[in-house]
Amino acid sequence: MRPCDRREPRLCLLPPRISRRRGDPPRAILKADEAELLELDGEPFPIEVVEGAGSYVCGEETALLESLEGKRGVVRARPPYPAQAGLYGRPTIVSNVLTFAILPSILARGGSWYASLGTGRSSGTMVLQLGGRVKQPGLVEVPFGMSLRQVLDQFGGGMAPGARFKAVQVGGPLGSLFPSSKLDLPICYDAFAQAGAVLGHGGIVVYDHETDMVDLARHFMAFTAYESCGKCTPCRIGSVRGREILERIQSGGGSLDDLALLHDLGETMKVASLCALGGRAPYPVLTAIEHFPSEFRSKLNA
Amino acid sequence: MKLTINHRLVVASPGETVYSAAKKAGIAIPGLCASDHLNPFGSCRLCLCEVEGQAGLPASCTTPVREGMVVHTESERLTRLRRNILELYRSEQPAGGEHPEALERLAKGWGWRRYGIGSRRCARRSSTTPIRFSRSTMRSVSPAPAACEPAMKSKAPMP
Repeated sequence: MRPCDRREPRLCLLPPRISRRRGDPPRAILKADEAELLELDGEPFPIEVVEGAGSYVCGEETALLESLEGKRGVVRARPPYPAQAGLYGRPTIVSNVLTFAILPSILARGGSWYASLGTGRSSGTMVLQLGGRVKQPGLVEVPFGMSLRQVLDQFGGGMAPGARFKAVQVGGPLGSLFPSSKLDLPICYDAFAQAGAVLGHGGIVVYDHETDMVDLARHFMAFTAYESCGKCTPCRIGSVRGREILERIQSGGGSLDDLALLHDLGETMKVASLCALGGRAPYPVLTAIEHFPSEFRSKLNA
Repeated sequence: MKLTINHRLVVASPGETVYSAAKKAGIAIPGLCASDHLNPFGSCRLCLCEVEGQAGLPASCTTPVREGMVVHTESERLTRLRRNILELYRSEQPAGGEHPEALERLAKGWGWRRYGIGSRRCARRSSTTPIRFSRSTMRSVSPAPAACEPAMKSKAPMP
């Protein structure tokens, strides 16, 4: 992250899980500083590393800016966009660490090489975090356009021993759930947008046949209820009510009306929330109901 | 600066929000958090509006006016969303308690209470001492425990 005014210090905010457990990004910056590599056009280009306090919503660019200013990490209304008025009201470009991570390859091999990778409007590569019940979890970087199935088979090595595929979630805890019939979906922005899904930060989690989809849906709504910054009503109250409805369904006290209410609540959160946390929260729940309706119906109290 | 709100030509000054421009022109947009005395915050989301040529439904209280913009503040979809949001607000109110006037004024005639009333927050709060301001002129900000008890029984158990 870099305020455009070059007199300002350059800052970056790292989640504590990276800076504490690995220590690598701060160490890399320290080493670059020691080697006097941190300069731009002959002038010093200091990078200050600020450790985040662990809030999920501080990954959202405006909440991140609030946090960097020492305020509570809540989302700002846009406009103005950070590029107009960002950190301390100055024009600010907020970039993901992934963006910087790809720069050395582009500088070494050229922009046309990078642009030649990928498909359609999604050019280049995507870094994926492959997890869950695959044989070989880990980080992989693939060109856009590869199908989910190819990624799971080629890099994940298929399912873990004894596990049978049930669903895959792409894009983190707010990502849509896909059944096996959707595995040929290519990993690119257009195809995902068409499928009503997001690539998000590229997290891929595979769930096996033992996964309780009602419990999974409840888990993700509980996640949003916990992480909501509380600024806007659809997310602050909606996520709590959503979690309660799913808890009720799970405990056998739910009804068909509860499923209808989840749809209504989902629509409200999707379009009325201030940021993507509330706006995306209904997706894992609604796609779980869409693709695994029998699991929800069987728990309903007639 | 000229814009159109609900098919009416409205004149506004640059930097003004759609919400305040509408208000000055006598077009009331529902809202709970917008105030002449505070900076725009965009919390309640009741003042959502439709702007032609723009995706999504921005809050009119945080949306700056633009020359020539065409805004709609009333539609079937907006009404449905406002009802849903008010229903969420109501779900936080204590059972049997007095509800905030502004909330009830907006929710007038809308009987939706599909989430039930009196939530778990209320039940949790009742187990501790309610927060009270020391000055006698100020009312308690927390529902009295008695008001919460029916709510705890009314709905399915929450772990």
